[in-house]
Amino acid sequence: MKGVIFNAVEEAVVTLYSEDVWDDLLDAAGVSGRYTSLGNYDDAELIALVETAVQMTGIDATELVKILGRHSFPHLASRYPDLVEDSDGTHDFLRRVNDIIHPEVLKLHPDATPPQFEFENLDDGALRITYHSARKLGVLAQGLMYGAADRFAEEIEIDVVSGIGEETTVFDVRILAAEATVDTAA
Amino acid sequence: MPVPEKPPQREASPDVVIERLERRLQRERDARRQAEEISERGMRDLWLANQDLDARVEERTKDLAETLEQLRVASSARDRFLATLSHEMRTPLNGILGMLEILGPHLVGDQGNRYLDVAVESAERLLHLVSRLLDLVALDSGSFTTNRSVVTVASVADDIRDRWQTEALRSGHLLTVWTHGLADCAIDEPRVLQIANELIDNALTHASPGALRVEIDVDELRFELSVIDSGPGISPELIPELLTADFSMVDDSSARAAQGLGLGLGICRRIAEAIGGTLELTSDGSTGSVARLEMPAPDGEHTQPERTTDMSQRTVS
Repeated sequence: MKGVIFNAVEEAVVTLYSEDVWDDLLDAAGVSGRYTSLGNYDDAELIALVETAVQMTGIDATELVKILGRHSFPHLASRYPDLVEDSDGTHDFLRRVNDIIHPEVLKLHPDATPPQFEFENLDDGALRITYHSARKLGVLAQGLMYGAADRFAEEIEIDVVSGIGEETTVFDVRILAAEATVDTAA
Repeated sequence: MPVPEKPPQREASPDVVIERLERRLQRERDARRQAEEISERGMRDLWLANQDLDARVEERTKDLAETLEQLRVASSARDRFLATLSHEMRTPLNGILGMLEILGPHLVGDQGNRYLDVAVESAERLLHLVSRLLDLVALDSGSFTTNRSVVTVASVADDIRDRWQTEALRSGHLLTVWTHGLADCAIDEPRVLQIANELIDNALTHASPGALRVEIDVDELRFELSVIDSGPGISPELIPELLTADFSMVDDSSARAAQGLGLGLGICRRIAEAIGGTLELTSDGSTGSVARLEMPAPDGEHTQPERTTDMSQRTVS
């Protein structure tokens, strides 16, 4: 897993809780915490962090990963502002992930293994997104989608059609309304 | 989606806080060092890849330069060979022509004279071909030279009439040469005549019998010579090919039968450009074609720009 994802999760924890909570989480999970965006780290470290956080907060793992994904988004967006600013709303941005964002990631990190997405426009205006990755982190992707909607000040609804926690997960993403302000939920 | 509440900040002793901050600092230092190592490794890999690329580019550039040099040597050897061969061929050809001329009075009877005519015509055609080959070599190697001098337009027209009078009649063409404008101009006369002769020869060979008009139009700025035939014309899509190829002919079986190598128009165009002009060919594909040589031609210093009041017109027929 790319270090930038660990950095983003750290940012989410610090935003939602505090630096001290991140320290405690690292200690309790037994990981080094020396994460740099340039490095690659064992997926097991992320799983250990999530499991520990579940124990510490009592929040259900799926819900917790979704929350971390959502609040990781601003950190990722701030690192690659052009990729976000060129997009015209949540759907447009999400569609670029395969074609622009992950190819850009691969230029900098040829050893990265980002997930693959498929897109389909549904008749009711929803965007059907199919996630494929051996990491089974569709729920993190779902959280990041909420984070993207926050960034574009849009209220969205995500139906998990099938396969949550599987290698392939299908989501229907509907734009409900544009929000008046960006909900940072800090 | 519920957002978890922040837990209340814990009270901690200063020692605990300091220890925590020291560990955090250490963690950040370690992460920074790791990042530096990774980026240094990346930069080194990039540098090595770049070195490799430089070496390959250099090698390929060297290969290409060698190939280019080989081609240049081969091409200049070919030009030299062609030039030498053409020169060498001209000497015996002139010998043949000279001897044929001397032989003329010694022949008795029509039969013998007909044979002689055929021999002279064939030798002249061969000499013409060899000369065009020499032009081609000169144009290719950049050694083509041009010299302008002041000439009278009427003498150019006379040269054309004298050269083609008999031959036009023989092939059933009515040749007229018209001149307009200034009486004198500065041009490379041998080259202009060479182009004119080629254009007229082409017209006599390919155009059906009928009127063949040569117009020479001169003003202070330009010299223009047009050869206008009365058909059957050339289909417009063939024109670019005719003007660019060194060896080409209108794809027409009767024309092919009448003339061998199509050395004419492509070389004419290149000669026209070498003496600072242009050669254009226009045709509607049915009623005839116009070949026009145009070039800048300031009138000579010592000539009075005397305008001919009427069009000088003489008909050869």
